[in-house]
Parts: sequence; structure tokens; C-alpha cells
Amino acid sequence: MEKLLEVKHLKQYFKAGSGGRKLFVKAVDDISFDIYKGEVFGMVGESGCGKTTTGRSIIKLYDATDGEVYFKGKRIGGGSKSLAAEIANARAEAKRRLHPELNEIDAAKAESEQALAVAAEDKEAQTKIKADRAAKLAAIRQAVKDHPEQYRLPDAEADRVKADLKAFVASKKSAIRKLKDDNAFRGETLELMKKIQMIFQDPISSLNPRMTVREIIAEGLIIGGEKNKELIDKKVFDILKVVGLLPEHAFRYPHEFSGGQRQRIGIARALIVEPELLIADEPISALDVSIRAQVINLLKGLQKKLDLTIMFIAHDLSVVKYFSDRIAVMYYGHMVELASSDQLFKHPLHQYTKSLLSAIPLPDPHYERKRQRFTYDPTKHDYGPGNMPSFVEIEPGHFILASATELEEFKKEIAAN
Amino acid sequence: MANEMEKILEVKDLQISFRTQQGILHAVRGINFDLYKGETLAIVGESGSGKSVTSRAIIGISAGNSIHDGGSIYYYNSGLAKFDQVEGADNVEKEDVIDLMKIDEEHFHKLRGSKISMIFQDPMSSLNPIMKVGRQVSEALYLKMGVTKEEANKRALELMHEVGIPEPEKRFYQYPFQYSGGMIQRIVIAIALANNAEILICDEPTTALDVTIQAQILELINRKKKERNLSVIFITHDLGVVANMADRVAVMYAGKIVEIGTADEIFYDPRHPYTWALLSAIPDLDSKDTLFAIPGTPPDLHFPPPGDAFAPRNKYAMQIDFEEQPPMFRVSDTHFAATWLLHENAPKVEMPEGLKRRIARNRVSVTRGE
Repeated sequence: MEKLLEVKHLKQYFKAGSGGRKLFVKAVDDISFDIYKGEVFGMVGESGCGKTTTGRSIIKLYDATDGEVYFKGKRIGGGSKSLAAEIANARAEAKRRLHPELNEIDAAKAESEQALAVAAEDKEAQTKIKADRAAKLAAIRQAVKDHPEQYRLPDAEADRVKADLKAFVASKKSAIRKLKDDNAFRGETLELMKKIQMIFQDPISSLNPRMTVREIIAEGLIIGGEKNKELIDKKVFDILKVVGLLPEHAFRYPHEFSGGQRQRIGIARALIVEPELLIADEPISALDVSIRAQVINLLKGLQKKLDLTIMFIAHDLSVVKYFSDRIAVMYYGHMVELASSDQLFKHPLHQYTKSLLSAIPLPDPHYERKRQRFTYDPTKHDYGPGNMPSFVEIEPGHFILASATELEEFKKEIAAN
Repeated sequence: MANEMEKILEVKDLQISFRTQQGILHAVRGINFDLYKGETLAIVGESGSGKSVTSRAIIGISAGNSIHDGGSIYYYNSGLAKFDQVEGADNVEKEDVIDLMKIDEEHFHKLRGSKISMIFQDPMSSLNPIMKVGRQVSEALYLKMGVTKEEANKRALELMHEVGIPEPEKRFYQYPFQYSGGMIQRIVIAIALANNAEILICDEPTTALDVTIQAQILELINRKKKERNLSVIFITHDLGVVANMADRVAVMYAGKIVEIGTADEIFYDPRHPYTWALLSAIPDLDSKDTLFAIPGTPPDLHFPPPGDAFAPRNKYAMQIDFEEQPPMFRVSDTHFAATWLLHENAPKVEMPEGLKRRIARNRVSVTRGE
């Protein structure tokens, strides 16, 4: 099958706090997956697990921190943090080579820090340790001054190190520039980005209350450079019919519509530019039960009629099961399992998937009376140095986040099935 | 089953409307149901069907523009003084009965919290954001129970422990924003249960929560219900949750109860076309065919239709459905449905094929499981 979208090691970090309390929230932390043409790719997980962030990073509402996103084989987005990190590493390494005394200084500092921690209460001892450290550092600096031949590389070699570093940094920087250039909304990338559209969760706040439906839907076309008013009107009226509204609705305002109709307007707005990939971010969560079915049926019908590929983000598992061909389960920024929807529901492997499946209430009282729920305990994993989990394909089309030892167990479990 | 149980609440022909800019909106148009001790009654319906209005009337917090058009909510064995406005209740002579629609605010104040309590949909906005969580729990105790603040604090800690808050001593002094949504909902439940209420009204308590957290909260409510023999009115539009929680189910549409029965009757033997539509509109884990979508939208209750409100969206509707309200037809002792299809002269109509298959499938999976 043809890969429409490829996501490789996507990372999306957000900065939070400032100064000493500054930290990175790893909303999406190294996930990789492909979306094939014509399929519905479901994404589930609890709130805050990064499923919405993934969708938004793909469509570039956020600047990805690292990783790559390919659409139809062309890189359309991604981040450059790993390249920036490489530059920083190379710089630090060159500095050590040019100034070997830094190692001694660091060692002395670390030693005194330790001593200070031990003598936390004793003021006198602390003063003494600090004085010792100052003396040591002064001695090292003096030694560098007195015996430069021991600490300094020969001039020729030092120049070579500097030149190497300069060339390395320049090449990486040009690579970053190229990535940024690829990411920019122009040229081929812009054309490709038009082929990805998004439907948002809240049909009330995602439509501008001061624009008529025609203006809302036509906005994408106008931004795309379409100037012919008659053509725009025709397209708007056509798309309104496609989503089950009437052409005369085009001149009304969003507040005149019910929730289900507003979601149809949102869908029409996404479809008018003839996208190939539709990212639907919880399109039915805010709707009433009786309206939900209308919107699900509409999306499903459109998917067949227009040969759309849909990335369907939701937390309602029975709807995702009904709608999707393949489902990815996310947990705290990681993708823990990815399989075809039948496979995932019949033979879930990861503990988190199992706990999530056991929590769904179904409209069947007999089943509900017997349903056993398990809880997921992330500390149960035996992850450690040398046994870190990775996202591997355990059987054809079934990916799972597991360490080497867990993988063995899962393989036994599959064999038993 | 229900007949042997003690009746605690009886809603009789309740009608409530609202003054709005567009005119009078008839939100609740004559509903009848009973609530028994120790049972969970789920009220299902889409937004605007009047389920929240009903529950707010029971706890006496109807909005300022509401009009009580008629009907009563009888509350049995409240322990309060007997009032004189009780004509019409089933057993006026021997029992202690009050009409919640007629008592004044002063008396209602005594009931609220200590007899009837409520859990709201959005836990984050039901607590005071600038007051420590522990104080909000203990406040409920010393305002109502007449205990000292020290005792109230002690009791509040116990309550927080009971509803599963880890490290309650530390959590007692934190503010609501330091809690997660699920934890806040636990606190709200603790407050609702602080004064040993008999009736707990849950107005979509898990709609704002995740699947796993939802499961925890539902388990907590179920456990408390068993421990304290609570009567629970559970309002929701999620039929999966209903199947999990309810002993009996009332389906509301456009301000009326269209079908009421035990959970098994509603899920395995539904009779009203609206119930059929609701059940077929949600996919279960085995659904493959196109979902049945209810066409159209609910009626505007400023102008309630003369006949069955669901008739315009109902493909089984007959002429009489547009002209006259159907009465509640009896299906069994516990199962009633308001549809003319159950009239003896009506043509025989079967429930939709897809729904029939699903119910059969569920039945099979049940027997296989046993």
C-alpha cells in the first residue's frame, strides 16, 4: 500500500516555567508511524497523552521539536533539535581538547560539591572546603600558565581542531537552514500542506461568529489564491450539499445552526480545498448522541466517496473501533501499541491497552455486571539501563513499545493465541 | 422487585417551564416516576430533554426564570415536620410526606445536603477555587451537623480517605487547582456524602472525565451506594454508563418520559421508537454496518407539538402520533412506554433489524460467558 504520511521520531516539547524552574513538557516523545492511503487511522489515549498534539504537529500548528514528517514522500515538517544538540556536543568536545585543564577544574568542583553536601550543617567546615577549592583552582590555572606545553596542543593541531569544528558547525547549520526552508509555507510544501486539513473538536468555538458560513468555508480557497467569485460560490454551494446542508445556509451565521450542523460546516471548510488527508480531532465529542451518528455516518460516507485518508483522534473507544482500520494507543507522549483495529481489540498486548479496553462501558447490562477492570501500573515495567523499551513490530502490522525481555513474553503470548 | 422496596420519592405529573425572550419554554411536560430506597434510576436523553431540569427541581435549585406549572414531588419519611399541602400522595394518612414543590426555602435548606445531595457535571467549577479543599469538605459538616470545627476537620479527613484521596492530610491543605479532574470529582462526592444524604443526584458526573477515570468514579459511586443504601438518580447520555450503573432506566425526550423500565427491559426489550433509535445510534465493539442516525433535530419546546414529540423524526409514526399524546402503555409491571404502537389497534411493528441482531448477539455472548 502507498504510504501517504510518514512520521519518524516526532518529538514535541513545550517549555514551561522560567529560570530555575524551567522544564520541558514532553507532550510527544519520539513516536513513529505511517498512514496509508485510503485508510482511517485511529488514535486513542487519555487526555494529556499527546494525541491532539501529534495531530497539530503534523499539520504544523506547532513547530515540531525534533523528528521528521513526510507527506507523499516529501518532507513537510519536523524539528532540528537533534542537529542543534550535535553542534553543541561538537563545540563542547573541541573546547575540551583545546583546554584539557577544564577536566581537572570540573573534577575539583565536583569533589568540593560532594564535600559540601556531606558537611551541610557545619559552617566552619564549609568555609574550609570553599577555601580549599579556591586554592586548587588557582593552582591549576598557575600550572597552565607555567607549563603551557603540557596543556596546550601544538599550534598546527589546535588550528586543525578549530577548522574541523568550524566546518562541522557550518554543515550542520546549513542542514538546519535547509530543514527550516523545507518547513516554510511556500513552494512545494505549501501545495502539499493544502492537502492536509483539520476538523476541530468544538464546533462552537472553531467557527468565527462574525463571518457568514460562505465566508468561513471560502476562506481556504481565498487564501489559496482563488479570486473568481462565481467559482467560489459554486464550490461553496456544492460542498454544502456534500455535507448535507443546503445552499441557502451559506448566508447565515454560525449561531443559527445546531451543534451537528456546525460540525458539518467545519467539515465543509476542511473539504473545500480537496484534501487527501483529514485530521479529525475528536469531531464528535461535543455532540449529542443522536447527532453523533449523523456525523460519523457523514464522515464515513465522505471517506468512501472522496477517497479520503482520515486520522481520527478520539477517546471514545467504541467509536474509534467502529470507524478505524488501524488504531494507535498513546500513553504519556509515547505510542505504546499500534495494530489493526480487530487485532487490537481481540489480542491487546500492552498492559495499558488492556486496562483501557477494560474500562469501556458498553450498552449491555449483562456484560457490564461482569466486566472486570484492571488498572495499569507503569512502574511494573522492568525498564532500566540496557533494557530500555523500543517500538518494534512484533508480528506483521502489530507494533508495540516493549523492552527485550518483555518482547520475549509477548511472543510467547502470541504463540499461545 | 421494585414493589417490595420502600418508595422514597414520587414525582407526579411534574410540569416546569421557563420564561425566555422567545416566550414560555415548556421544559418538563408532565412526568411521573418513583424512586425506591437503594436503587439507581438512570435518566437518559439528549441535551434539552429536561433531565437536568427535573433533577434541579428535586433539589430545589431551579433557575430564577422557572415556572412551576403543576405537579408534585413527594418525599417520603423525610423526618421533617408534616406539612399540610400533601393531598394527592399515595398514602397520606399513615406516613410522613412532604411536597418538595411546595415547601419554602427555609425548610428546603434542611433537606439539601442532609437528605438530598447532588454532584455536578464539571467538577472544576463546582468547588471554590480560592478556598482550601479540606475546608470545603469540613464546611459542609459544621454548617449542617452542628459539630465543632475540629471535629468537622477530623471527619472531613476520614471522608477524604473514604473516597480514595491518597495522603488526605497533605491534600487537605491544597487548593482545587492542585487536584486533577478525577480527584476533584472524588472531593465533590465526599462533600455530597458528608451529611449522610439518602438521595444522591448525579448530573453527568463523568462526562468531563477520561474513560479510565470515569470507571474509577463510577465504581466509587456504586460502592458508596451499596455501603450507605443510597437512592441514586443518575443523569447521563452515555448508554454504556447507564448499563453499568442503573437498576432502572427512564428515557426522556422533549420534556416527557417516553419509556421507563428495568435496565434489562430497556436494553433487551425496548419498545419506544426513540429508545430504538438511541440504541442503534451508538456503535458497539462489533458494529460494522452504517449507524442508524436519527434524522432532524429535537422540537422547539417553545411550541410543544400536540402529539408525540418524536413523531416528525420517527419513520414508524402514524397519523394519531401527530394529533394526540400517547399515554403510558403497560408492557410489564415495571416497564411502561408512551407510544401508540403499543395500542391494541396499532399495526405490529418490530424493532429495527440491526438493533435486533445486536441484542441477539449480546444475549449469545452472555450465555457463552456463563
